[in-house]
Amino acid sequence: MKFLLGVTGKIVLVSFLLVLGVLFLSPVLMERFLSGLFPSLTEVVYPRATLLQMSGEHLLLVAVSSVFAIGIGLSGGILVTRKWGVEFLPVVQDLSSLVQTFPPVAVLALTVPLVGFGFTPAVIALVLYSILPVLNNTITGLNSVPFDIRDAARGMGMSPLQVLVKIELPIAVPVILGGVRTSVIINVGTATLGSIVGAGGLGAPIVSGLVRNNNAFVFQGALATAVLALTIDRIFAWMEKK
Amino acid sequence: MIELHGVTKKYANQTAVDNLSLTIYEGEITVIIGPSGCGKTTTLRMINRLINPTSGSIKVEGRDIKDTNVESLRRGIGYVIQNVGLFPHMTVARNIATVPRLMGWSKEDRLKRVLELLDLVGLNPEDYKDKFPAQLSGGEAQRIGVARALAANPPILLMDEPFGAVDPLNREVLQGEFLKIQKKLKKTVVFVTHDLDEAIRMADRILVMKEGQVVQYDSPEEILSHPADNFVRDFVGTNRALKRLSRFSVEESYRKVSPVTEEAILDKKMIKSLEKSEFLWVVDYKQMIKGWVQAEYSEMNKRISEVMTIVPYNELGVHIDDSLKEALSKMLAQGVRTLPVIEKSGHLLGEIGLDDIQRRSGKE
Repeated sequence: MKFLLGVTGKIVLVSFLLVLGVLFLSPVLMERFLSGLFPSLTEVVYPRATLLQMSGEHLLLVAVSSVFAIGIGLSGGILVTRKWGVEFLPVVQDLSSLVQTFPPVAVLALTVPLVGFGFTPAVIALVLYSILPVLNNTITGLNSVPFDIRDAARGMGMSPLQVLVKIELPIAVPVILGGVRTSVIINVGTATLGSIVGAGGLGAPIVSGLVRNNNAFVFQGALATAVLALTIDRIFAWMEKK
Repeated sequence: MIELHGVTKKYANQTAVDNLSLTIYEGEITVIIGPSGCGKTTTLRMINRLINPTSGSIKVEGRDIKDTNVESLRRGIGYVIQNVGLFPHMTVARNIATVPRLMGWSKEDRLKRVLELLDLVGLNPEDYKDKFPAQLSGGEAQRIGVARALAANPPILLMDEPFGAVDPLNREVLQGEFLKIQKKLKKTVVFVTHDLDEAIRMADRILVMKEGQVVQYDSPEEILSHPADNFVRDFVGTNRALKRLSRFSVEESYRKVSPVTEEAILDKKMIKSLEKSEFLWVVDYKQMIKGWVQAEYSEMNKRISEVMTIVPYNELGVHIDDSLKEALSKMLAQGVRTLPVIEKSGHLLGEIGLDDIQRRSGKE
């Protein structure tokens, strides 16, 4: 039964994504579909960019900010789990939780005066917002490596760097990957705010739709974002299995 | 040879090891024993610099370990710990080849060594080399731990309660196997335990520690017969004669016998030998043990197969590597005074009697 559910679940998901894929690639089909859903609106397809273009911008925002977030989270996590870095643990944890409580919109409002409009403030806001899951999972993962295993590795003559790279990180990888997954998925959603500061992405039709009271615009932006998030999540699930 | 000179280790408010000086001799098993907190593990871990002494010096093979590179020092000293510490993300083969890999051995040399070592610790190389630690039993994992420590053929082995996490039955098997390996390899072994039986069985020399200091450093026989003070006497306990038995193996004490086959007919000679010993052992043409004939069922001219008791070989007898203590406890458990001595394969080698054991325990 569980197996059947799993299989039908997969079939439903895949066909759902397929249908959406077709809609994405064919503006004509998309227009028909949206006119059917929103009969009262005269303009249903966001005119300034195609969904494909906006998805591309969106992915770039997510990719760049995730690389930074993973870099900072991973190195922070490694730092505070070293013998000489343990003192920084409370500071680093407090700081990253504090940053997490900042609404991304507020971060945008604060960074725009400093770095101007566009891609950069959006990336800064996204990075700050997505460090925490990577950092926390890196700390948890590295701390979960049993003492005996580290002791054996050191006792056999591995240098501290070798212990980290050959023993601790490989053992912690599943946990760290879980944090990366959370962080990237959060980023896919949060990146819609980028359009506020002119960074483009799938937030553009949403913001424009809200302003012009056009629910079809909002709908296509939100739908595309959801599909992107789901797809990336599936890719991570597949990676974790491997 | 390992020499400690006035070694002291202090932690914030206590002294773990207090001005310890001793020499650990080459090719011997030196067992450090004492109650928990006596400093035995600290002493062991100072030898490969996992802990640095507060003062004093340690020399390994004549060189002060402070002057050697810490990583290369450790690569030259095998290290086995209680919970094995196998790397869960690596196969058995990769685990064993850890130090050779660190030392830059070629792939072929590493594989050859892995197969050799699996064989040495009694595991079939083809079955085990690609397994992961999670697929191993406690005893198997511990064997791999020993193989891993021996991988780069270090002259010294440090073992911190290596068989402590294994159940008592398996522990005795592992002890026996390790002693056999040691007979061949003659490593300088420092072995920490809190199990006195284990210490008596394994040690060439026992170091009894209390509160960071040496109480007695002697051969097991001396410790048993002349405990240095009341602490050692209490520690050794009252059943010292019994403990001494674990130092002797069945191999040194058994007698050869002339077994009979199932097809044979009981004759005078056999009846006579049954008057002397408790059983007549029955084997097949390959000398595999099949069972026995007891005096009370024996009758002239009967065929052996009519009067014998058939028992599967693995439920019967003691192995040649078992200690006399194990032999004695088997005798008590089965209520007999004589047991057949067999090889693991089931081949009959001879028999051992209660009187053989008594003779042995009284002699020394």
